Amino acid sequence: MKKIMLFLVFFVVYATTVIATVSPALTASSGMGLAYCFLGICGLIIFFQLIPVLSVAYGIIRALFSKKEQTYEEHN
Amino acid sequence: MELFEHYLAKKNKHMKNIINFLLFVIVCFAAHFIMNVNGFFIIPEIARVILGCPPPVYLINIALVVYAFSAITIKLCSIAYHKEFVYDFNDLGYCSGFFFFYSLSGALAINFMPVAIIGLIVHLLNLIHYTLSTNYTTTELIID
Repeated sequence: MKKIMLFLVFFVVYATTVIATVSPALTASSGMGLAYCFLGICGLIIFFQLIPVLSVAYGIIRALFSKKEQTYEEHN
Repeated sequence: MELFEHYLAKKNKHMKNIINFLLFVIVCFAAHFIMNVNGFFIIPEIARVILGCPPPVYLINIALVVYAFSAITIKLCSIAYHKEFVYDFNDLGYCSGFFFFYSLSGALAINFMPVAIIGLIVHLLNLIHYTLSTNYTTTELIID
């Protein structure tokens, strides 16, 4: 769990950094108000929307490939 | 008594849900009204210097795709797992933000429909989730 959290924090920092550096419009030296506002919204989307979806997807994939299968006969 | 309190809470939530949806429709109408106007040139020169350049359209498109994918997945998961409906204005804020940034970038006329459709889908999923969750809780209360 700790590793997953560390990975997610790293992912958020990496994603926002990439968004900030990929565009020359966002790295202009004059004014950065709109760029920071947009980065804030991107951060909110990543933190509150994308991370729960990724954790759900991770849980689904983990459940699909786990070897702990219990047949109906074993259960009874 | 418990059933009556539950009815009042349900009515309150129902009103909030309708208000949320109406606000989204109003935001859509407002965005449609200023669709052909570039919002960046309405801002005064001094504010424009402070605010800087608007974000490029392709970055807003990427953010919109990520938002749509994650929001729809979250809503479908919460419907599938019978989670309790939690009321919030998040989706309205995100849609308004996208309209705002598209307007500043001068691309609202092209990208109005995708944002409106995604917002409508998310709000409809919200309504479905709310209706299903109130049905579950009412049935549980009546059984108890």
